[in-house]
Amino acid sequence: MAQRENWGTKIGIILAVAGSAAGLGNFLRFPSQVCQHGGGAFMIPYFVSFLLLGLPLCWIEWTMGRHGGTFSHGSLPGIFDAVVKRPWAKYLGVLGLFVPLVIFFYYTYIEAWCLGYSVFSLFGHYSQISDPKEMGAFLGAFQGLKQNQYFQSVGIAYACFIVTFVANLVVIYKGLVQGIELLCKIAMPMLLVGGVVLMARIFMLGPQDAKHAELTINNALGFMWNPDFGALKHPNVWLAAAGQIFFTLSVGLGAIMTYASYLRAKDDVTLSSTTAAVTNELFEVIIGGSIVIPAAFMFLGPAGAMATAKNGMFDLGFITMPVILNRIPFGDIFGFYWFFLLFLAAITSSISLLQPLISFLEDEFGWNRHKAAMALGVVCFVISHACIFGLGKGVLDEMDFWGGTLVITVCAFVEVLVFIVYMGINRGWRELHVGADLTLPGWIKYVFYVTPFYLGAIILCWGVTDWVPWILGPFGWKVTTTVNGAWPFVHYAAKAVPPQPAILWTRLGLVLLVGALLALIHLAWARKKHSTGATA
Amino acid sequence: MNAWGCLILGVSWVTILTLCVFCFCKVMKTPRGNIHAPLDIDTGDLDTEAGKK
Repeated sequence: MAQRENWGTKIGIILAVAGSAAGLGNFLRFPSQVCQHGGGAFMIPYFVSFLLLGLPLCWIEWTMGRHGGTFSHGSLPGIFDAVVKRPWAKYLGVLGLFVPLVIFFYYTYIEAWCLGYSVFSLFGHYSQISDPKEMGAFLGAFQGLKQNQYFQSVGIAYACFIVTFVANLVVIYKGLVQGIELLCKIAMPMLLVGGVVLMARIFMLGPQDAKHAELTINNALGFMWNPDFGALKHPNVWLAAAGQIFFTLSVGLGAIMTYASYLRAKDDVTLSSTTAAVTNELFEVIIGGSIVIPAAFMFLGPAGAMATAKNGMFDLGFITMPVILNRIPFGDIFGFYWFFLLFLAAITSSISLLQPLISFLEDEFGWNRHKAAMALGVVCFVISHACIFGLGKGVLDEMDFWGGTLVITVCAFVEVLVFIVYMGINRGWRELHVGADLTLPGWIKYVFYVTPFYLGAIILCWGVTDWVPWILGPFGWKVTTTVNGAWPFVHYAAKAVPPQPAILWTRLGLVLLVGALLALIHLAWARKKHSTGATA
Repeated sequence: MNAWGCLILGVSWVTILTLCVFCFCKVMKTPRGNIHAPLDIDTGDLDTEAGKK
């Protein structure tokens, strides 16, 4: 078997992991979560979750990843096989192949929107639009959901997708050092500079309307950060904070494990993992928290900013922000900055989604990187079309639910259980500190005992309040839940609605995908067994 | 922004910036010797009679 690649520099893997974690959620999801869940008070459960859930999960993934790498395994099936040492363990690793693959199918298309909008901004294609409804019409036509004076078909969005897809593939094709590491070393500083420039511009804005002199940056920050400590009594605030930490750090994807598997056996993981996690927080709390919501407050007022926060990520990024930036001097330039910033954040994340599959094909089938990249590229290109042409029919949301919400959480839970049960906390702690450049305080070892319960409780709550209604929906039942203060008493109300065929077809496709991945895992180990037997 | 808002914003930012500076300084200060080489594996190939000669 060919020798596995290694990272060129320590800063390279730190920026690659931080780049994987810093994505659209840092700039769009975090500020709206803060607004909706008690303002500054949200930061208390947020930091508690960071300590009890986020950091331990990062350390576990880095440790197990590096451990798997010493056995020449970089993807979850191989890593579980190396840690658990039972025949069934490798099949459990299918979670770590399914999640990044499914997310990649739709994430690249969203990334393409950012690229498209950055070009539109630069050339002033939407600079005359000042009304959010009109901007919504622009976005809808761009996505091919309607036809109007802006776009007649999905053609431009499709062209952006092709460019984005090829860019991802080229980076992956070029390999770890010349591709991923090089891109992240360029993109991450650009992301920082672009973010700081936008932040500075927003902070320098004065009141936009003489009639509303109270709409200042000071009050905008107050709108976001003034705490409502009463909110801490509501379980959904704690749940939202845990969810934000979970999704922002890119744990449960298998990407961190794969990146860590390219470390050498005695390379540090404690300092590198902590640095990557803290870098992600810099992009989320400081930069992400200082752009969208403060800008929305100053231009739309408190009611408009709250409505914006509740409208969700995409409205915030692709409707509200362009409208706001159109109203400031040199808005085209800042619009370009904004969307290119999102594009950089997205591409450093999307390349990490392909790496677990590349590693699987290289390590378990002995393919070279170029062959693996091309084969995976063809599969992803074909299946991504379901998201492009199924947009508006629920295909993208369905993939996001299974790949980006449910299975990712279950995968992280399984990783924690494997770490605790089969590696053991004492051995895992020693393994974490092999070659460590940062010795963690001893008491942190006990946090690992808390993490599975914390994550298990989150899974239970999400399962009851969100996942069950979602799963039942396409079968002809619209289930709504209400949490009436005294959690966990959740009331279900169901009514019959027509089944949604596109969603049912998507689910069938995802089941077939799991089947195909399981077959590949089985085939890989059967081949290895066969070749070992032949050698013997 | 009220005093509590200022305090929470300040503590959050200072905590994150301090951790960032601490971590990156430590990464930059790590001597190159700490970038560990691949394990030296003794294959035993030269432990033959011919090898010993």
